[in-house]
Amino acid sequence: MASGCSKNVESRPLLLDLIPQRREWHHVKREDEIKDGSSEEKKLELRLGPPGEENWLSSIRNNTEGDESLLSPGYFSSSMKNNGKLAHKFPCPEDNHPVGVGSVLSTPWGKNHHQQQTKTCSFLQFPSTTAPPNSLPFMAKESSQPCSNKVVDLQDAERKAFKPPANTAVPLNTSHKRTAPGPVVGWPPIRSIRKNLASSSKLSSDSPSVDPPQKVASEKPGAEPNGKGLFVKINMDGVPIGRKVDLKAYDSYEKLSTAVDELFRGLLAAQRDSSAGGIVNEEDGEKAITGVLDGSGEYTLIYEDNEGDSMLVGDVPWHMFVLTVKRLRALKSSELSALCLGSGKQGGR
Amino acid sequence: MLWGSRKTINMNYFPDEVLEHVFDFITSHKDRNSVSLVCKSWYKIEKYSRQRVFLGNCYAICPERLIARFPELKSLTLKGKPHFADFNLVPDDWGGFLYPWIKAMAKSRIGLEELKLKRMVVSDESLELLSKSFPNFKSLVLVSCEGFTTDGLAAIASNCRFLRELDLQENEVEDHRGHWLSCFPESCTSLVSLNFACLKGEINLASLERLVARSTNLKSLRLNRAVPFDTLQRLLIRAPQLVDLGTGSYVHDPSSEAYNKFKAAIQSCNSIRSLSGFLEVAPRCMSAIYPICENLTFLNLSYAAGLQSNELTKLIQHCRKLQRLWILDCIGDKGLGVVASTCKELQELRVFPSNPFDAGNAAVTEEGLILVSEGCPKLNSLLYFCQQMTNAALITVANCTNFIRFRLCILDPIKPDPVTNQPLDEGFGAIVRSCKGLKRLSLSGLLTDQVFYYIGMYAKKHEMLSIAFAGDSDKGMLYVLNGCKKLRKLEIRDCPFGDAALLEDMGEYETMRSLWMSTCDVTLGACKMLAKKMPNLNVEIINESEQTESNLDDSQKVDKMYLYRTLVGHREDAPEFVWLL
Repeated sequence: MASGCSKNVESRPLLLDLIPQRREWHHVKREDEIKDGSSEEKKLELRLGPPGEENWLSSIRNNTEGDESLLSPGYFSSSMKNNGKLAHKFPCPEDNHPVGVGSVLSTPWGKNHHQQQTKTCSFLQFPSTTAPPNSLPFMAKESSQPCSNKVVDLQDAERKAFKPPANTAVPLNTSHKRTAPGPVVGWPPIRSIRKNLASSSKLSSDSPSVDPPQKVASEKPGAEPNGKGLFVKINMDGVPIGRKVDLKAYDSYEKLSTAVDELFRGLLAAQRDSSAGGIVNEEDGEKAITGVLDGSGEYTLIYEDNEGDSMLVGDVPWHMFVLTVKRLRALKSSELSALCLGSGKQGGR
Repeated sequence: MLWGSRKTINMNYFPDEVLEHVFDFITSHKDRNSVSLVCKSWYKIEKYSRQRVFLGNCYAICPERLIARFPELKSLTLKGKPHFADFNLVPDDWGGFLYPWIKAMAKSRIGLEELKLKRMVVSDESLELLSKSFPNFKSLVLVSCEGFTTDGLAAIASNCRFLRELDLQENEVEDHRGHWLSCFPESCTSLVSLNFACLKGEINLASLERLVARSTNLKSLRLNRAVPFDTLQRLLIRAPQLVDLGTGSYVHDPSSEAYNKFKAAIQSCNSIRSLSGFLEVAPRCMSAIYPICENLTFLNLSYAAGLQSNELTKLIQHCRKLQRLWILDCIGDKGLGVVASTCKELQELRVFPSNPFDAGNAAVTEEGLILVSEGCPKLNSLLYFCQQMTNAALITVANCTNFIRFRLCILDPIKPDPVTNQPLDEGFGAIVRSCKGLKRLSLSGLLTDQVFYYIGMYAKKHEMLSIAFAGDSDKGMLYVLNGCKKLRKLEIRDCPFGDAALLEDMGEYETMRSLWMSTCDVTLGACKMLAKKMPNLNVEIINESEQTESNLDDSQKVDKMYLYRTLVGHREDAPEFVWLL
């Protein structure tokens, strides 16, 4: 096996060429590169049965006799995962016997396999095998979502050659290795109560934060942390007196929206009364303030975040919103387009 | 001596009362189930003497049949939604409603005294009916339930004259900010345990103080965030006999009068063995509790995100008798080293993530786990959220052979061993091989079919297995189903297990309580086939897309499938998005 390995590498300097390409793929995500990659991958693919199968050794030999390397390209991608980000895995054409990256290298049967691994590692001098995870800085910029979709498309294409088609389910279902694109529903497996702990406590304690700066909202003016709540100012257009609202008392945008209604309904009515010169139109009375989240009402909620940008309320999950909000404003929906919105969404929804 | 003689002693010559008395000593549910299978008369005696019933799945049987089976029922435990509902994988309204049970028991004049519920939907209406239907009702424990408000609690407080225990753990309660606590009548002095830590709203503090003052048997008190430090101190003065304390807000100025009073009050609480809460905590104030630390057996600081590692370690150094510790990962690996060197009696450790969505920054790694496993010889239960894990570390940890529960959650769910780049098959393999008593296992990290091979081969006592983002093929699931004969609950998400695995041994599912598979490769057709062939199983599909059952063809993969054994066929309360096959 070892000899096969060195022979392979000598006859395939292309393997080394693939490595930089792969890096670029992770970074740039160009479709043409990926397609090239897939045909290479097919050739390089190592078909391994799961442990226990008699003929898997022979299948390795069959595969290595040709132009294939001992190491599937998946090996490289897995080491690239060290950065802790959810990287995609190279697709494997065979459904039932895909190459788990580890399975190539970690089967218990052969100590010799372990040796091979280290041999090939050092031979190819792939840095990530021995370096600590952070040695692959390019990975930090990777956003895996578009990649994983493409990976999955390739898998689908390859799969069709081996299995009857007609899988129209969510792409994630088809990849043999789950590549989670960004935050995954239900992962990590903790209850909702535990999800915002760090943010809500940093606002209540006065100890120095150990988190990167963008997580800490308490040091900047605007949001007043005290032991009991996160109070931010809220103003409504046309109402000269502002209010303060405790965001920790709510856990959803709906509740905030209700609170806005409660806080300003009376004030707004009073304002209308006075501006109408004392003529009270009974129908107006105290009208509920609704539709602040979806642009359907008279007012729309926006907020100023810790970077000073004006943002539309409701885009990000509640707990993230609470982390970055500095002050709130209920803008007249008709004036929304006049404002330059930091999120790039202009003219409301 | 007896076997040789021609006369043999026949247990049935004893009067029923004697047998019943004997059966009283048999408390385990499994044993009592076995007793009832011996013969008809034993079945009958056991049936009428059975007071405690545990139903792991409320849909396995219907209330009427339960009552017919055990007419003397006094204590009922019910579990509703599947475990993954805790992580938002099950939509609201899926099911698990309490009301039908209360209604049936009320109608049949069951003398219910204790009710323990987990992941059920509990309406105010059901709480009210409960409070009015069972005059001897003593204990209500709700864990991870939802659907009720403080109005329901008010009904319980008002009407359950002999209430001893009201224990609310991590429920979703709509707080109407009413005065439910004030609804406990002045004549109610029977409370032994009161836990309302999960309530978000304000509490009538004066009522609380009066209630605690007159509940001389109170042993367990867990407050919510709205109870300020002042009140805590006054409560402690009134209840120095407390064994279990959950603080509310623990934010105060160390130089204040209140702090000094608290220090004095807590000194006389030398029965406290269990401490939790700290839902809000200011640093530098933990020294006040050092005096009671040396007697603590359970410490839960898993909500105290305001405490840094050095404070945590200073505190833990006082806790030499600790048996169970729940903590946040800000304690760090070094902090876990302090735990390892101090807490030699430690049996259970849970380390929760303080930054769950930042996989690169979790403060504990495999180092911390190694230290604890080496330092705490009695460790048998683990829940560990970490940034990374290595095979070498797991192999070392496997030397701690006592594990009954081993749940490892690497925040990046498919992360390999960062040192060797290999999957964690070998590490977990070592765990299942060495820990022969392992009953519950949760896996994470990069894993291939190999780990399931090991599990199937060695994990003979496994009862619950949680798998996510693991495996390569159907073989993985088959190894588990074929090897783990004691498996009761299997939950799988995002794994490449498909129809072949699902359908290979359908009879297996009747020996299990339930199977959950989501985002796997199982098709609708296979689920239908399974449902058709196994009438004692309910196969349910949770479909959150817009497609209706008629649009979907059999070769399409299902997103979420939950199947469970049942004696009563399809349930009647399933919402539209749940298809009962």
